[in-house]
Amino acid sequence: MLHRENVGPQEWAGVHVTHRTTVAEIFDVDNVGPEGTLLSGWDMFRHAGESLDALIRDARAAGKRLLPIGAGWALSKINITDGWLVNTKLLNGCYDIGERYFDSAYPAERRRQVVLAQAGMQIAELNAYLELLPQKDALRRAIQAAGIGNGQTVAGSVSGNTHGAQITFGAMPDFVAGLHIATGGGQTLWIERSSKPVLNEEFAAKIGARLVRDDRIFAAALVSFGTFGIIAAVAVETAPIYQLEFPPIADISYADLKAKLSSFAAAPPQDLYHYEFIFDPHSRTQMAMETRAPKVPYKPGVPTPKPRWIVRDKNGYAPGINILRLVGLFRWIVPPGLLTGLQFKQYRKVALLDNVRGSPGQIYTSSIYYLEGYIESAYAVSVGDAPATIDISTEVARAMRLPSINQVRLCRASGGTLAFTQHQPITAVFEFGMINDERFPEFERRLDQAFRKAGIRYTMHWSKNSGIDPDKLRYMYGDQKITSWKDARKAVFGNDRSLMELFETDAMREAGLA
Amino acid sequence: MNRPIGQSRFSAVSSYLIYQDGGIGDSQPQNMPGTEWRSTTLHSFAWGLWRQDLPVTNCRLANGQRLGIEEIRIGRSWPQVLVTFLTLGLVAPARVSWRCCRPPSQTGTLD
Repeated sequence: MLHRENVGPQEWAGVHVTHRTTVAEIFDVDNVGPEGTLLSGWDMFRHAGESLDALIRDARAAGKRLLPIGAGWALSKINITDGWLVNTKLLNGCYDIGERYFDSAYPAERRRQVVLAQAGMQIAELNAYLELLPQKDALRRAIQAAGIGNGQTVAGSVSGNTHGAQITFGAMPDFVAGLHIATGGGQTLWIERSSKPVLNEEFAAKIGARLVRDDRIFAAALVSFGTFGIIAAVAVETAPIYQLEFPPIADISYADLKAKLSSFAAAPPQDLYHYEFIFDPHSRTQMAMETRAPKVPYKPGVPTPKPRWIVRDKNGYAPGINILRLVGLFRWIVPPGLLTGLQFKQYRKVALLDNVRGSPGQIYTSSIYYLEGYIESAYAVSVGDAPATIDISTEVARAMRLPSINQVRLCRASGGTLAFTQHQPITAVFEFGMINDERFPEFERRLDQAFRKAGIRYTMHWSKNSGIDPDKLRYMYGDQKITSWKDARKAVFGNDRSLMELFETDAMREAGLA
Repeated sequence: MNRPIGQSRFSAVSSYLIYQDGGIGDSQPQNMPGTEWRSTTLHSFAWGLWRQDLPVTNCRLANGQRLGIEEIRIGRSWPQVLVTFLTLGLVAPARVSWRCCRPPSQTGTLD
């Protein structure tokens, strides 16, 4: 059921407080039914979809833009609106699906691995449902891709293209089998691929949706950052439970690292599931560190490793929220290499997975303590271009005296039309954290210039960028993909301009995607 | 205004974050909310002889079922510190922000 908070216009910021806005109102959506009872099963999914569809029509009548919000994890402006903000976090149900609701073409042995999760379900909750709830080990399952943390919602992580480092699987949008979306058209949609049908007409009817089977629409809707309507639920393809075994962090020379990346481009490694490396652009040692893990069979009783990125001490002390503002004052005095040297050591100590074993639900539990005033720029290239990108990142960071190290995570190319992790055969995502000041857009401007000069196609992370304009968008994706995405969006809204405009954020308009 | 402490243009000089138990181990304590932030300024007068309480009324589902509080922030901005200092504690304002918990997840099989 919808309930507006009745606070009226109010200031809002995402988890990382990178941008502020005034939203016209916040609406909470939960699983309470019209009679006041907490709904479950089919009723829960159907009613959530209908409530969201009705809200969209209300927004149109009120002349307000609308933006669904998950955990508010994005650092870019994709989650910024001045209209109605729809809090989906209270939609956190998750169900297995009975045999009869599968399309006959979907393999019988994989049906138990498909679950239907509501949009607001947190990844931590999904992990608990898959890994902890079953009483028998044979019934346990695990997600196939995850970021280093588990605070995102299912819909938010898919729609914003959370990637992780699954070198032989892909990013989080790649585990999606179907999407339940409200568009304000009077009936919700169940969207899946025509080339890979998963659930049948009866299933769609049970959740009150119209079945749409279309590869182009599915691929476009996957990474759409809240602009294709409001996602009510997601069908997630999981895997039988597995574990990842991380050996101790290894030091690797730049020469060996670049040779390894080039070999990945020639023949993706089949013996690894997770791969990432860290390098310090200001270091003269030419040494990076890498962490990697193969997928190994589930072994019961493995203790949960200590989460990464905990910066609180045993007495509860942690850096204050505003500490980066103070650090920023010293930026002209302290050599960047000094700060990155400290960061490099800290990453080894508290950030990277080091000599641990566990399931995704046990491993990817990083509790990142975000500091206000912090921002990240993330850009992706094909793994074949990763060696050159190490040099480009280093040159730009050094020229600007930016005191930050680079974390690079590799994942198999994604299928979403505007998935920024779409570089074949493996995408290398470079993440660069910095203080949020005027150097952030300047860093990305210089990077763009350097990539174009080197003839390297790159993409910016939708959730970690300082802004994307139409020229940059065309360089990143090309006209064909942009047109395909726009056409799919028109199809989803039945070419109803008034509905489409409700979901147009400023960031989207600036990018030329409206 | 509904801005949590620490997000003020007058940066908070002191703030405390109070979490409920989060995920596995010490994971994700700061990010398991069911709602967005709500904030208000509370006052204490005459060194606590007269105080302003905070009834939290928004942590519930549409049917009234209570959810509990997931995270609380308590802090003082520079102007609030100044007021407390200049009045020798006679007037002591503080900013309180909170987010609510999620409901238990509904699970089962769609048959």
